Amino acid sequence: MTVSGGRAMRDSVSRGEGERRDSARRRKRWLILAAVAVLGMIPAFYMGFQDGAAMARSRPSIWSPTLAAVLAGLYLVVMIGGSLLMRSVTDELERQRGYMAASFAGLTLMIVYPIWFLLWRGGFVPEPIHWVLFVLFWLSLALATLFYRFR
Amino acid sequence: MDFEGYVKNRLKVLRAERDWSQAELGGRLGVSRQAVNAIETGKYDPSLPLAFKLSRLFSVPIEEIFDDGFGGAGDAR
Repeated sequence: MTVSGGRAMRDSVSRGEGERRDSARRRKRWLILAAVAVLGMIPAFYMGFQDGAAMARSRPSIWSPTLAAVLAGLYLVVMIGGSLLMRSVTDELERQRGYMAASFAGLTLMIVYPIWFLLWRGGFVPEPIHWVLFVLFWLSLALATLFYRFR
Repeated sequence: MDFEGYVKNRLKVLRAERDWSQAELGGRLGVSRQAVNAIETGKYDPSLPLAFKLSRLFSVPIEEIFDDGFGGAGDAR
């Protein structure tokens, strides 16, 4: 029997109250993440669909102010509500990793944006694009999260 | 004063004595299995509240679980 096989067998031996609580915690965590992902993607998919359709017709994509406000409100509720719900199922190790990943993403943004802005003012590059900066932040957050999780 | 490095611990031994899995211990502590694994392998030092929880759960003083390599309690060099 391999070492990992022995460990797996030993770990499967005692399924007590702690394991049940651990399973419930993990289930709740995935449910919250899934709900946040689905609800958070509604504005993104709608935006992509609207803008894509407008682009196909070679027309500008015009949104109604009400719809824009509703989608902004939905995003705000999902992000704040999701963060509050996640607090109850996030342990100190996950929180520490989250802080480190957020610091990395924030630092990336603080380095990239001013440099891009200064180079733009000097005429070297095009004007900073807001959605590129947004995607860059999320991408660096995701990469840093994966790094701290699997290093 | 050197606070660099992680402290050693006997968590794996104490857990094995009770025939608990990492998930079992994590559930009893309110942390993930990954957190227990990270503490056991020395990749993460738990917070003071979590160290006290461990101490109460195993009914042993914190010094019997963790060793920072600087000797006994009160020896804060």
